[in-house]
Amino acid sequence: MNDFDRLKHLLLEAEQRRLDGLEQGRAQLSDDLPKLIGQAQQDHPVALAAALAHPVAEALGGAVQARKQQLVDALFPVIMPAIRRSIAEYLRAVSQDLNQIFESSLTWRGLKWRLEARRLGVSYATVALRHSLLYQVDHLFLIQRESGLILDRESVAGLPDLDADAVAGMLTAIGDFVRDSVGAGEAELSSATVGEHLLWVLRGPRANLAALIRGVPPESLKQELIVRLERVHEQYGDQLGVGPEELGSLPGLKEALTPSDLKAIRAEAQVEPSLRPVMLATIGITVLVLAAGVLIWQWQQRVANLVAGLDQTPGLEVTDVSSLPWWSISLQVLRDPLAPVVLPLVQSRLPEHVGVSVREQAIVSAEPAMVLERMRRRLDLPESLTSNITSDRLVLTGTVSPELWRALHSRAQDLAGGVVLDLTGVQADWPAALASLGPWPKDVTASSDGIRTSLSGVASHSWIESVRVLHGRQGWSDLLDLSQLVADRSEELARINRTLRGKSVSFDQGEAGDGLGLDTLADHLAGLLPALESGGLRVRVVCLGLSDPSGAETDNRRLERERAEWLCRGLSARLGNRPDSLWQLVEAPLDLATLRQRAALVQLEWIDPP
Amino acid sequence: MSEFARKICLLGDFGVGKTSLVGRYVRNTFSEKYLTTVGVKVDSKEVAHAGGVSKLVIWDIAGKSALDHLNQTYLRGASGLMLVADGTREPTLRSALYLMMQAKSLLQDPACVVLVNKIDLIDRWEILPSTLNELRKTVPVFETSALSGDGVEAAFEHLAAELRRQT
Ligand SMILES: Nc1nc2c(ncn2[C@@H]2O[C@H](COP(=O)(O)OP(=O)(O)OP(=O)(O)O)[C@@H](O)[C@H]2O)c(=O)[nH]1
Ligand SMILES: [Mg+2]
Repeated sequence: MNDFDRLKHLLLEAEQRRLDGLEQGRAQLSDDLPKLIGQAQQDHPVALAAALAHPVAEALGGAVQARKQQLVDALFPVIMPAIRRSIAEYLRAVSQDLNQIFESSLTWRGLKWRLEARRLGVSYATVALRHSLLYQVDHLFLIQRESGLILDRESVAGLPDLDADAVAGMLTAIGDFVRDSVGAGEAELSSATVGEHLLWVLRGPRANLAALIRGVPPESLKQELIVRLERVHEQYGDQLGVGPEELGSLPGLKEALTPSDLKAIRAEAQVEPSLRPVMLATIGITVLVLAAGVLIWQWQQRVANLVAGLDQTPGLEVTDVSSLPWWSISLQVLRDPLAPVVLPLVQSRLPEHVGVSVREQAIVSAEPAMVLERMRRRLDLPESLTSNITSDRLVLTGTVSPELWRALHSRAQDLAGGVVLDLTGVQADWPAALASLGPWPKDVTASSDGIRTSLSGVASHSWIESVRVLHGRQGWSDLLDLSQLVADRSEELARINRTLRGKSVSFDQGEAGDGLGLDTLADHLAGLLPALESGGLRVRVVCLGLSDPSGAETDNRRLERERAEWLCRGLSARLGNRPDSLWQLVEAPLDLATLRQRAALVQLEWIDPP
Repeated sequence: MSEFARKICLLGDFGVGKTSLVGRYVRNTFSEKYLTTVGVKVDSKEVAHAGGVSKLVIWDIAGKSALDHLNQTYLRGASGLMLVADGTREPTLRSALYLMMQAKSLLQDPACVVLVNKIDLIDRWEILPSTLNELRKTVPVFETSALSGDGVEAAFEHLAAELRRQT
C-alpha cells in the first residue's frame, strides 16, 4: 500500500486542491437549488411548469433515444410482474378454450383425460393442459451467486453451442442491476423471455439456478427445480461461495444437477391429428365391422372345436350343426348308449348364456373304443387286461381266468361287430386257477397252442389226482391237456413205508420163532401190493430185524438176522408166489438204528425205480 | 470443463477501449464506432497453456472514473483485474489507478495488470514513459492497441498466468 499511497500523492495532489475549491461552491448551490425551485413552484406554479415542460419532455425523449437499453433494463423489473400476470391471464383463457374444445369433442384421448380428471378430482382442463402443453428445459445453469461463475451446467444434446459462462455472468449482472435499481427484496428477476426461450432464475443463498425453457412449462417444473437447487445447497452449503481455486476441490459439484433427472422432467411433444367426424364415423364403423367379424370368426372356431371334440369322443358322431353366433346352437348327434350324454358336454364348453339344443339318435357304434367298452361291461373284463386301439383293430393283452378266456373266445367275436379283435395276447392264468390245490410243482410247465394249454412234467401223484378231479368238475377238457403229466411214485412209497414202520412184528421171548402180528402184516401187504404193481411196476419187500440194547453186540447181530429171516419166511409162506422179490436185510439201516427193540419189520422198494 | 472458470473485470474510464480490447481478444474484431457500454457485458474465452486449458470469464464494466455501488457488486467474485487507460488522455491513467485502489480494497488480493491502450496513436500520446516506468515498479503495465492487436493477447495471457499461479 505504500507504493500506492505514493502514487496517489504523485498523481492526484494538484487535482485534489482544485476540487476542494469547487466543492465548496457546488455544495452551496445544491443547498439553494431546492429552495429556489420550491419558491418558484409556490409563487408561479404555472410558469414553472410551462418553463420545465419543454426541456423535461425533450430530455426524456432524448434519454429514451440514447439509452434505450438502460431504460428497458430499469423498467424490466417493473414490467415483468405485469407480463407474468398477462401470461397467467392468457393461460387461463387457453384452458377455458381447451375446455370447450374438448368438452364438445369425442375423441378417445378426450375420454381418457376425462376419466383421469375424475379420478384425480381436478378439472378436465387441468388434465388436458397437463397433457397438451409442450416444453423442454434446454439449458440448466447452476450459478455461483457472488461471482456469476458457472458451477454446473446441463444442456440438451444437439443444441447450438451457447456461451454458458457469458450468459451466466450476464444473468448475474442483470440480477445485481435489478436489485440495485429497485432495491433488495422488493423485486427479483425471476423470469423473462429470451428469444424463443423462457428464462427462469431461482435464487438460493449461495447459488442460483437458471433454466432456459422452450415452450410452456407447468408450474410443477418450477417446484422440481427449486427442490434441485435446495438439494445442491443441502449438499454443499457455504462451500458454494468459495473462490474458483477452492471450488475444484468439491467432489461431484460439476454433476450436482444430475442430468439423468433432468431428462425426466422433459415432456415430449404429443401431437394428435384432429379427427373429423366423418373420419371418426368411418373408423367407428370399420372398427364395429371388424369387431363383429372377429366375434363371428371366434364363434366359428369354437363351434368347430366343439364338433371335433364330440366326434372324437367314442360313440358320438355329430351329423348336423346350426347356430346363431354367441346366442344359440342346435346339434344332431348319433350316440351309442355307452357314450357320455351330449347336452352337459356341450354346455360345459360354451358360455352360459348360449342356448343349447341336442337331438340324439341311438346307434351301436362300431368304433373299437365302444366295442371295448361294451365288452368290458358284458364280460366283466378285469382292469389288468390292457387294450390297444387302432382305427379298426382292438388288441387285448394280459392274463384272465380260464372261464373268462373261454367267454372271450366264444362271445367276443359277436360283440366286436366288425372290429378286428386280436386275442393272441390274452392268456388263461392256470397257476392262479390251480392255486387252491397247493403250491405249483416246480417241474411242471404249461405251453399253449393258442387254444389248448398242455401241462407237462413230473408232479406228485396226489397233486395230479387233484388236478384231474378239478379238470373233470370244471369241464376243462377243451382247454387243458393233462396227458403229459407224470406222477412221482417214490414219494408214494415213502408214505407207505412210514405206515409199515408202525406195523412191526415183536418178539417178547427174545428168541426168533414166535413173533406176534405176522398175520396182520401179511394181510396188510396182501391188500397193498397188487394196487402198487397194477401199473406194471414191481415192488421188493425188504425185511429188517431189530434188537434191544442189552446183550453182546455179536449176539444182537445174530438175533437181528434170525428175526429178519423168520419174518421173510413167514410172509413168503402167507403171500405165496413172490420168490424173486423177497429179500432179507441183516443189519438195520442207519435211519432205523435208534429203533432198538426186539422186533422185525418190512419196507417196500421199487425194483428199477422210475 | 477441466476446472472452474476465473472471473476477471475490466475497469477504466469511458471510451478508453475496454470493449474493443475484449472484442479483439475474444473475437479478434475491431470497430471504429464507439458504442458506450451500459452496465456490464460478459464474455468468456478459453486460454490454452502448458498445463491444459483454463477459462476466463471477462466482465467488461461500463466506463467510470470511480466505482459506484452497482459496479462494486459487479466486482464480486473476481480473481483478476484489468485496469485500462487511454494513452491519448492522461487523466484516464489516474482514473485507472484510482479504480485499482478502490477495487483492491473490495477484493482479496486480486491479480492486476494495467493496460495503456491506443498505442497506435502514439503521436498523440500524453503519458510520459517515465510515469509508466515508475508505475511498472508496482504493477505490470502493457501498452496495447485494440485496433492493431498489439500487446492485447500478451496482457490477457499474463493475467491468466497470474491467476493460475494463485491456485
Ligand atoms: N485508434 C484506436 N482506437 C481505439 C482503440 N481502442 C478503442 N478505440 C476506439 O475508441 C472508442 C471507444 O472504444 P470502446 O472500446 O467502446 O471504449 P470503452 O472503454 O468500452 O468505453 P465505455 O464502454 O463507454 O466505457 C471507439 O471508437 C474505438 O473504436 C485503439 O486501440 N486504437
Ligand atoms: Mg465499453
